[in-house]
Amino acid sequence: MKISVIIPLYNAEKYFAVCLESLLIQTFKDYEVIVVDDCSTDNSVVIAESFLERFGGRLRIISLEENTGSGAVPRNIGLEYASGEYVYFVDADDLLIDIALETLYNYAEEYQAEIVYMERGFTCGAELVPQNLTEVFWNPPRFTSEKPVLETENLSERVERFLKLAIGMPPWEKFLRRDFLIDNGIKFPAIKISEDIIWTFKLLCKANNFLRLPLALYIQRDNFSSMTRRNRSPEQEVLFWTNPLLRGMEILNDFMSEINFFKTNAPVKFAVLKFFAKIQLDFMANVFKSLEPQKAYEIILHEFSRAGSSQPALIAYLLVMNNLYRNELAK
Amino acid sequence: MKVSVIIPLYNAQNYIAACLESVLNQTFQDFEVIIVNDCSNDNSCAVAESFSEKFGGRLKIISLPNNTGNASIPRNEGLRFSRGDFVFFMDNDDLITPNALETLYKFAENARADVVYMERGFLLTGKNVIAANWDKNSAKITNPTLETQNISVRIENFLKTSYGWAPWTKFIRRDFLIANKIDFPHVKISEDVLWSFKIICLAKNFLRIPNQLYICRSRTDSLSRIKREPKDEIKFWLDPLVKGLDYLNDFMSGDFFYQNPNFRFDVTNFFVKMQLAGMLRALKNLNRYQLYQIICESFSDSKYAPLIAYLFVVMNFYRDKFSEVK
Repeated sequence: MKISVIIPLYNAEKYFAVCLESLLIQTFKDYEVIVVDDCSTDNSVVIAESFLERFGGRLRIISLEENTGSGAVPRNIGLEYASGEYVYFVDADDLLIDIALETLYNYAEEYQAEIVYMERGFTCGAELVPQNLTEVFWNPPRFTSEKPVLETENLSERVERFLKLAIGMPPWEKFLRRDFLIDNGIKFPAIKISEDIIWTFKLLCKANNFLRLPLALYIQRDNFSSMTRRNRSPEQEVLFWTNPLLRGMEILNDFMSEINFFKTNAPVKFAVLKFFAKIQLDFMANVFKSLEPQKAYEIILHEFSRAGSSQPALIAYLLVMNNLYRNELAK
Repeated sequence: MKVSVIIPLYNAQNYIAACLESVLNQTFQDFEVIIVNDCSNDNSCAVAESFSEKFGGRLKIISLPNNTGNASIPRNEGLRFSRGDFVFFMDNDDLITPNALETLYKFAENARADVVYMERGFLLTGKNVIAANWDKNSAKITNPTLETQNISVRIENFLKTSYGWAPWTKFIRRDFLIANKIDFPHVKISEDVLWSFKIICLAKNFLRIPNQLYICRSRTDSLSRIKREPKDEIKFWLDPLVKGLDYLNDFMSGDFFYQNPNFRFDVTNFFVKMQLAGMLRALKNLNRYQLYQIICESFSDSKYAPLIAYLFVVMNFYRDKFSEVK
């Protein structure tokens, strides 16, 4: 069929029914919905199952055996099961307006786009009423268009714009050709946070026709329980950010090592790695404020040694010193 | 026999004779001299060999098959061949006073010392001999004094550089080195700092003496003073920085450091800053991209090369800003 809607599910009992309802009322009918449950401990799966009949065979629920901690693996697994020409990753808390799939499909076909990127969307408070809906740009307004427009084919320009945040990172801003993803081996890296940054970067580097669409079709609920905000002890906080930092840089580095443009443009490669690292380090900076350098060093050294990284002492030291200087300079 | 004098030899044809003469003239004669020749390409070896007869069988010359770049491996080899109760690592361009070995041996035996540490000595500059302290913040004792056995205090002193780290400041019980597997790490520079740190942490009886027994020849062509291109300078100092951290990290994993983890960062910080100081001028002559490239190359077989390079570049940037602000 034409579209696979893939939804990673984890403890979304409050809003999931509304999400599925919004799919049922789509004007475009030729789709399947693949829900991948990451071991929810609430009623999410019961709710999903209650929709099976109404979807008439188009809804499929896959249950993972062990919780994987983020949306990355569930999405990858959903992609494996998908058979639509296009895929669309939707979050279980959110919803689509009724003409979303039809609009996305039509534009994708018209422009032969591997990716349709929605520059705009809606955010909405807890209660889904018109006065709570706000139309927003997902990237800085100076990068938005008034009409659908194809992103430049020039990779150098694309990367430059990426580094200026001309494109948003969340998966649900993009409608994708399935065989484009498969042919290029583009999956979500299995890190707990910022996996969408890397995934988006890969899309940008590999897609020929990347269409920017200035239409708001997706409604994002304000996310109170986001991964970035959960309560963690300083130790857990450090661990939480260091692994994505390490792994993420590794993955980006490996990815760029296979692309000629980056092989011959080392400063640009550096800029991309710096961009990614800076985001992680910015998140980590707050944590270091509440820890003494000696203690932070201990935690990171232990974690890196345990994870078998080379030069654990050097990396731990550099991380601690960077934060020490940042905090001192901020004073 | 009682004492092994171990001398790493490299292109010291102008100095080795005086060095060996000073050992020959010792009041204490129960020693062997082990010279480890690191592929000198001048007359050093011939000069050394000319002393064989005078030493009457007590002089051994070992020649390494390939040049190793610094004194670490020669010293380690020398230790391996040594048979004395005590070892003394001497530099090939220096000298000892006639009563040096006798004094050191007596103190070592009386105090049952693992290490006898000379905090003072002489500097030979041109023709002038001047008195010198080997550490910046020495205890300035007047009598031989046993260092505290409290390791925390010793490390704190170490961090304040109140121990000189040159190998020739120490007269060491051989068993102590062997039992604790204390080797010189094979790094381009600062190997003596790392080696000294282990000794300071592990030695039980560490005797500090005020006697001036060693004469260090001041030279302008030491490893740290050779002029290099900025790129090579960075790589030169990165070598000890990286290997040194791993060496320290491995060492600082025993019980004491388990109970006193704060020292791990403090000692690491101390050592890294020392290497950074060596690279300072080179750092000022490179822009961020160049520095990044150099570091990536230096770590080319590590997955984390870009991360290390990035963090290093940023840290350097902050450090500059920080010192501006200060």
